[in-house]
Parts: sequence; structure tokens; C-alpha cells
Amino acid sequence: MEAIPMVEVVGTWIAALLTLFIFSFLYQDNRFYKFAEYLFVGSSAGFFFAITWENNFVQYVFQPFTDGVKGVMGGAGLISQLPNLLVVVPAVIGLLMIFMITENYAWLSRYPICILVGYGSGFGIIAAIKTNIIPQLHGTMLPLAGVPLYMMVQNLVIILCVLTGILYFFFSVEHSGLILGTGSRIGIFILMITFGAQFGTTIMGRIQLLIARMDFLIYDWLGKMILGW
Amino acid sequence: MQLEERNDIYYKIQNLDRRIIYVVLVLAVIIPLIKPLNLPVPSSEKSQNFFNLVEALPAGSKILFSCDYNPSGGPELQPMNEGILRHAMTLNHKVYYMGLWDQGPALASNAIEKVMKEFPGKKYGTDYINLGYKAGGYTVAMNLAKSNILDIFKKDVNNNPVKDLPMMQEVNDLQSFDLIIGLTGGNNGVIDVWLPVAQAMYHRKVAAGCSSVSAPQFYQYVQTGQVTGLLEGIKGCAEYEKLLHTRGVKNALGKGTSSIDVQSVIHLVIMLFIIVANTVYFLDPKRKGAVR
Repeated sequence: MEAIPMVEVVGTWIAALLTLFIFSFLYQDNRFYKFAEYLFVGSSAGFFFAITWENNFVQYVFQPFTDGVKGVMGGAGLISQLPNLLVVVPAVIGLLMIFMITENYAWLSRYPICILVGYGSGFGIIAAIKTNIIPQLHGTMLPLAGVPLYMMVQNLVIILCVLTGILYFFFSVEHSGLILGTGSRIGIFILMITFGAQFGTTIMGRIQLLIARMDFLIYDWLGKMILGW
Repeated sequence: MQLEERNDIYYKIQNLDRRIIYVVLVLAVIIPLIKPLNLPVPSSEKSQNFFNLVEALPAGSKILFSCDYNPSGGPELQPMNEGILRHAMTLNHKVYYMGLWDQGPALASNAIEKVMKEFPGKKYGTDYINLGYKAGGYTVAMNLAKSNILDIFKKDVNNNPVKDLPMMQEVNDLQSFDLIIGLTGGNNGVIDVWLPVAQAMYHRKVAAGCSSVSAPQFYQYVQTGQVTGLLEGIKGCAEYEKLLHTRGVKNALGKGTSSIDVQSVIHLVIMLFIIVANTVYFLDPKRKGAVR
């Protein structure tokens, strides 16, 4: 059996112990679980901060700004370095978000929020129309004649499901009568079937997390580290 | 009002200690993991389309591979990542990894480290590259479409300059890529970025791999043809691995295939629990509303 690098041995043991600590919650809450939970939260926050600092602040603010200052001090014209120096403006606007936690100056945080909401809406509307509205409308306009019978039935089911599902969310008029009343009741069933399918796939996803952890414990920890498979 | 004390079987089953259920579930995971059942894995239309899409590309095609997931999506998406990389390298395609999620490129590096041992003739910078993480989501994709790629990705994931690498000389912008593959663990991935920009605005082919949780959201895009191929969760991954194995790709059967056996057993166990619990509930003569 070839030698396993020490870093892999230590890493695997730490990962295995932390996994077992987390699993111990299934029996009852205990200090080992709490320790693993707090370690996870803290290290995730630290990692995320480091990544965000390096990839966002340093790359988009610190680096261009220092390049701009070096350029100006090196003799390059101020106008030519303006794109690099002006990054400090959106950086300062972004920092105004911190004032959200204060009582007297919380109003300052509205400026970056407005810019974010404006940008998000501007992009979001175009994206929604191009991706979710027009193609989906087009996808619902399906032929009911001139196609094989099974396709006609399939298309009819799709159209009815879409219409009745949307009908449920029409709240301007009371849901009564044949069209609105019956239609919205069918829509509820369609929505419930959708949520059921969503729930089923969610279960599959969550179970896969358990399978992956058990696979690691059995093969990478017990098998490789202890039993020497 | 004093609650009636019960000792009958109906009461015991309906109030079963949940730790017994946990033990049964854990055994249902461990046994098929140790002793695989090798259940058949028929491929679905979506997985077949994904496979055909990569297969149909001419040799040397450029694939932009966006890893938009973190380790919580790893159990389902990492085996997909490895399978797609194996497939691309077998067909001599060029793979450009990047990520809109901060940990995506690191997971891509793990896949590269594992898979590229099987392709000793392939070279970093000539056949595959990891361009790293870029913050901004939609903005990154728009910049990629409108600017030169070297203006956006100056360095790779290891902070090495990419300007002089042969692969980077062959691409200019988003339109240079023959296929865009996105592995998405949630928001800020295929649906929010690559579909609106790459597919809707610039008419590039987009294929997706997603976690099981997100799969129902993708069906509508598959139906309209916006997403050309879809690998849905671990099921899609297992189907894809089977197709690769049938094609003759070495080491194709990975974690996807080994997990799907366990999934089948676990789902049967859960269904059994639901059936037993509901049967006991309705048979219980002392339940509220029971006809006595």
C-alpha cells in the first residue's frame, strides 16, 4: 500500500470527526455538535470574507486605485488615470451601506440600495422578458391539430395546466363559477402536483448529501485510513 | 383533560422513536454502498441530449464550463463535472473553466486534479484551463460578450498570467465558444446569467447540470429549447456516466453510478415508511374521527 501524504491523513481525520460530531445531533444535542456547528459557521464566514476581499475589493478597488495613483505619481496624466481613480466613488457609495445599522444615519444607506435596486430592476426586467416571459409564452402556444393524437393530448394538458395554474393567482375577482371557480380549483391541484414533484426532487438532493458523507466515512476514512483498503 | 394512556401497537408505531428511523435509513445507505446492487440505469431524453450535444461537437471545440456551485452541491455536481471533463478530453475538446460562485473554480481544480491523470498527453493552457472566480454574475457574462476575454480574465485560478497561453489566443469573447455548460447549485448560474445573456441575447448553445432541488425549475427551459441538454441531479449524472461507459470512456462509472443504487433503496424505504404510517393511522380505532 502506497504511503498516504500526511496532509491527507490529517485532513481526512478532521473531516471524519467533524462529520461524526454533526451526526451526533441525531441522538441528542451535545457539545461536540455545537463545537462542529460553530466551527463551520466561523470558518465559512472567514473564508467568504477572504474570498470577497481578494476577488472584489482588492481586484476591483484597491488594485485599480493604487495603479492609478502610481500612474499619476509616475508622470501619467490625471485624465488618463481617471478610470482607475474613480473606482473610489462606487466603493464609498457601497460603504454607505454600513450606516444601515445606525439609528441616526441609516438614511445614508438608501443611496446604494437605490442604485442596486435600479440596476437590478433594469437588468431583471430585460432578463425576465427575454428568458422567462416570451419564450415561455411561445412554449405554451402548442398545436392542437395536425399532430399525432398523443401529442395533441400532451399539448392540451400543458395548455390547461398553465392556464388553470395562472388562474389561481388571479385575485381581482372572486373564485366562483365555472371558469374562475372550477378553473382555480384545478389550478390548485396542478400546483400541488408541482410542489410534490419539487419535494420529491428535494428529498433526492438531501439524501445525496447523506450518501456522499457515508461514502466518505466508509471508503475515505474507515477504508483508507484505518483498514488500509 | 387527562390524556388516555395507550400501550397498543398503533400508538407505538405512530410514536416510534425517530432514532430508530435514523438507524434504518443509515443501514439503507451503508448496505448498498458496501454491496452494490448494480441496478440498471436507463438514460432519459434530457441526459441523452446532453451527451449527444457534447458528442456532436467537432474535435477541438471550445467549451466554456462555468462551475457555479459550492461544496454543498458537490455530491451531485462534482461527479458531473468529472464526467463532462472526461468526455471533453476524450473528444479532444478544449475546456475553459470559470466560476460565478467563489468556490466553484476550487472544485473545478479538484476535478482537473482527479481526471487529468487519465489524460497524460493533455496540457494545461493548451487543452484545459481554469480561469478562476469572477464576481458580478450577469455583469461578467455581459462583459464577456462585449469585451475581449483577456480584459476580464487576466490571471488564472492560481494567479498566473494567461495572456500568452495558446488556448487564450484562440478565443476572443463569448461568441468564440461553441458550447457553454453551466453546473448550477442555485441562483446566479444558468437561469440568471447564461440563459439571458448567452442564449437569449447571443444565441449560444447552453447546456446545464443542476442539483435535484433545482431540476423542476429547468424543465420549462428544456421544453422551450432554451437549454439544449440537462443533467438533473445525481440521477442525470448516473445516466450520463452510463452513456460514457457505453461509449467506451475509461473510468466513466463514478460516484453517480454508485449513488443511484443507494438512492433507489432509500426511496423504497421512505415509501415503505409512508405507507406503513398512513395505514396504521387509518386503521387506528382510537384516532380522532374514526368510525367506532
